[in-house]
Amino acid sequence: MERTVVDGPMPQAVVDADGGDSFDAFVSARGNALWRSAWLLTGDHQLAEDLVQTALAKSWRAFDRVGIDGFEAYVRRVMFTTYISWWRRKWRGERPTADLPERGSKEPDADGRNDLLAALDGLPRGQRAVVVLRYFEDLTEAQAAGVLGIGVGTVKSQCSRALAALRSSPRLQREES
Amino acid sequence: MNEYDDQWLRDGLAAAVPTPPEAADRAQRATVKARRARQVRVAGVLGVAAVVVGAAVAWTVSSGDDSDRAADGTKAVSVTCPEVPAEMPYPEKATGKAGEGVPDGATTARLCQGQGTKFDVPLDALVVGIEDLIATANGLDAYPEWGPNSACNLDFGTGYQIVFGYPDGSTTAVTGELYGCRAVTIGGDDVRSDPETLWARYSSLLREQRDALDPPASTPAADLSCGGPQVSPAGRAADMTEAVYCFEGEGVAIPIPAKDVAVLVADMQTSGPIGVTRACFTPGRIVGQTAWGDTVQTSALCGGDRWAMEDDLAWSVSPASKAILDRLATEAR
Repeated sequence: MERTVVDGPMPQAVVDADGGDSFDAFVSARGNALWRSAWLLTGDHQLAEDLVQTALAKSWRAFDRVGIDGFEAYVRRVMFTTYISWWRRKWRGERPTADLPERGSKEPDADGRNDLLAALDGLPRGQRAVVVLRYFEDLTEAQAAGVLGIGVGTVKSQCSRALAALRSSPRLQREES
Repeated sequence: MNEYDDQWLRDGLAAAVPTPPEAADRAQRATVKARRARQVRVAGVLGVAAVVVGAAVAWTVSSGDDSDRAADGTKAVSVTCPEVPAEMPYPEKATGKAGEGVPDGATTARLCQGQGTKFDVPLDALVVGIEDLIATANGLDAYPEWGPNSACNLDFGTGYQIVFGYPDGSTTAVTGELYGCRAVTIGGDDVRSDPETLWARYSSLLREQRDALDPPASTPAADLSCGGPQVSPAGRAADMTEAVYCFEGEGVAIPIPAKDVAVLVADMQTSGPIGVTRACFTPGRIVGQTAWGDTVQTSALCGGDRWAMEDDLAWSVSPASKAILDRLATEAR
C-alpha cells in the first residue's frame, strides 16, 4: 500500500522528463497517494477526487514558493484542513447521480472491512482526520498536529475519543471477541 | 484500544482503500480549477469593493468563489477592531468548564491588538476557513477553575483579539494572552486554555487565504525603522518587497536598494530549520514590509552566516548576499 511521505526529499519520480521539478510531475507521482487518504476521509471515489482536486487547486500557486521537497506536506495540510473546514456545507448535500455510489455495504461482512468503514463514517470530521493521519499515514502526534494546525494535546484527545468510539462501535464488537 | 487493536486498525485502513481511478489529467484539471476560481474571485472582489468602498477601516480581502462563501451563501462582512482593553485580563470567570464557545455562522474573522505586547496587525481579515477557526477555538480545553489562591506568571507577551463577524452585523470577540495567565476568553465568559493554538491557527489560515490571492495593488506606505519593530504573525520575511538594514539596536535605518532586496529575498527562499545555534551576538537586522503590508524582520545569528526567520527557520547567506550585507554594515557603522 502506497502511503504519503511526511519528511525527506521527494521521490525521484517527481522529477519530470526534463530533469526539472514541476507541478504536473508532482501530481503524477503523488496524486494517487493523496487520493487514498482523501478516500478514507470521504468514503467515496468522486468526493475523494474532488477533495484532491480542490487541495491541488488551492496549492498550485504556492508550488514555486514552497518548493518540491515541502510541497506534498503543504498539499496534504490543505487537503485535510479543507476537509475539516468545508466538508459539511460543500459536500454534505445529496447530489444527483446516474450511478449507484460505490460505498461498502452496511451489513456485516466477512473480513470486517466494511464494518470498519461504517464505524469510521460515524466519527466527527476532526476525529476521522486524526485517525487517517495517525493510522493510515503513520504520522506521529506532533506531525498530525502540524498538518491540522492544532495542538498535540488536541490530537491526543481527538485520537483517544475516536478510538473509544471505534472500540464501542457495534460493528466492531465482534472483532474484539 | 491496545497495541493489537492499533495494528488491526492500521491493517484495516490499508486494506479498505480501493485502487485509485485513472486520473491522467488531474494536474491539468487542478490548474484549470485554480484559474477559474481566481477569475471569479477577482470579479467578486471588484463587486464587493464597489459596495463597501469608504466603509471599511482597512481593506478586506474577500472572495467571490463559492468555496469562500459562508454556509448560508452570504459574503464576508466588514469587521473593525475594538479598542484594546485597558486592564490586564485575569481569567477570574473560569469555572473549569467550557462554555458554549464561538457561535457558528461567522463569515469574517479579524485579528486585532489585545492587551499585551504590540504586534503588526494584518490589514486583511480572514474570510476563508472561518468554520475551521471556530472549531479550533471551541476545541480548546476549559481553563482550570479560578479560585482565591490562583495566580499567574508575571511575564510579558503578545495580547490579541479575534473578532468574528456575522451576516446580521453582530460580532463575537475572543481575547488571548500569550503571557501571564495564558487564557483565551470567548465572549467575555467562556474561558479556555492554550492561546497559542488559536493564534497559530489564525496565522496559518490567513497565509492559506493569501496563497490563493494576489496581494493588494497598494498598501499604506512602509514606515520602516530599527526601533524594535512590531512584526506581523502572518508575514514572511522572504516576501518582503522593501527593507531597511539595521546594524545595532535602534540605530540608523539604511534603505536597501530594490535590486539588493531581490537578491536577499531569493536567498531567504532557501531557508531551512534553524536547528541548534551557537550563543553569541552578531549585529545585523533587516526590517521589511511585504506586499500584504506586513512588517517582517530577520536578524543575524551567531557569526552572521545564517539569519533567523519566522517559524523557526534560518537562511544561509550566499556570497552575493554577504557582499550586500557587508556593504550595508559598513554604511551603518
